[in-house]
Amino acid sequence: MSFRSGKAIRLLALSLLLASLLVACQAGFASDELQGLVVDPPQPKPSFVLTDTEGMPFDFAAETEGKLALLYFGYTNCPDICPVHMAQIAEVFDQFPDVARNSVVVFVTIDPERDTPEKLRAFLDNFDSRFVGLTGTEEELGAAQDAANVPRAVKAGDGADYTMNHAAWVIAYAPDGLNYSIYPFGIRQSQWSNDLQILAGMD
Amino acid sequence: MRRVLAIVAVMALSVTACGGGSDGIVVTDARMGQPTGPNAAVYLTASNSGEQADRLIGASTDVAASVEIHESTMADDGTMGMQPVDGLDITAGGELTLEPGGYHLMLVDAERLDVGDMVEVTLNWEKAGDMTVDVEVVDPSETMDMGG
Repeated sequence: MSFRSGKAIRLLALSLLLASLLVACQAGFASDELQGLVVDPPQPKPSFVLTDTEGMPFDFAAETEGKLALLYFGYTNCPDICPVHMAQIAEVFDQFPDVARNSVVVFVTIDPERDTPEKLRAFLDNFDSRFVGLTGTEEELGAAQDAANVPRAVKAGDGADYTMNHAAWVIAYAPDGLNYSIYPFGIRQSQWSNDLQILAGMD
Repeated sequence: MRRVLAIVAVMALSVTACGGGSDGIVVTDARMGQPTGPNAAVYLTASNSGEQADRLIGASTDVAASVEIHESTMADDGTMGMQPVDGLDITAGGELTLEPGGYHLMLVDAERLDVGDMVEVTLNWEKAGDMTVDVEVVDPSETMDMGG
């Protein structure tokens, strides 16, 4: 199964969750190995330009050159998964300012209808005002998801309270520009700490 | 006789006196991630020591416009979504767990709250009726059990 297969992701995510339950209670988990879902072979950074919360164009590859880049496609109406990912990353940044200094978190909304730049900014400021929020047209956002090798998000449900079905994993690009690991929902705080420190040094 | 009645009455009262219990159902670990967007999610564990099964069919709170019961799901391609569910069953002697990535109570249009706030949420059980629990507002990264 290639890593691109959704089924592979699902199976690996489930086994990762099971494995993480075994070590979940260990405080200060540390290891030389990446705890996220390893991507083999490592993938190159996608190329796309979207619009940030100030209305300025943001060229993902250029703006994250030489830095640890964490790319995530989500939406602000999301009650649990999106905030948990962002909060866990922000927690690592608080504890390790050196890692934070050479990192860029990029949150791309897949719900441009409801996520205005203001709403995106307010959402991200809950976690860290350095997190970048990106939006764009439906076409631009679709192309960005394709380039990042994630299934395109789709609307679910009717009315104003619709939800989004989306790829809920964070894609990490080391400073050398390669994607070595992804982080599906279920990753523990200690695993984030472990991995971000390792990835920050891969340049 | 009066004394026996008094004792029985006190015992009956004490069973229901604790904020999180009713007819054998006890709720623990009630928590929610600090709302960062329009919606927020409440998680908890319910244990049913009673002899009849029950079903959580709704909830309400003053800090949100409405509360829905949702289930997060992962599709074959790894994407995640969520859908509303009518109710969540708890067996006699069993447990019901609401946790990130699984079931949660979704607070629609939630007020801004601070970490450390305690919020009252009233759970509606089909048999046991209404039960008000205190939910602690925590940093979203701490909503996962043993999140360390």
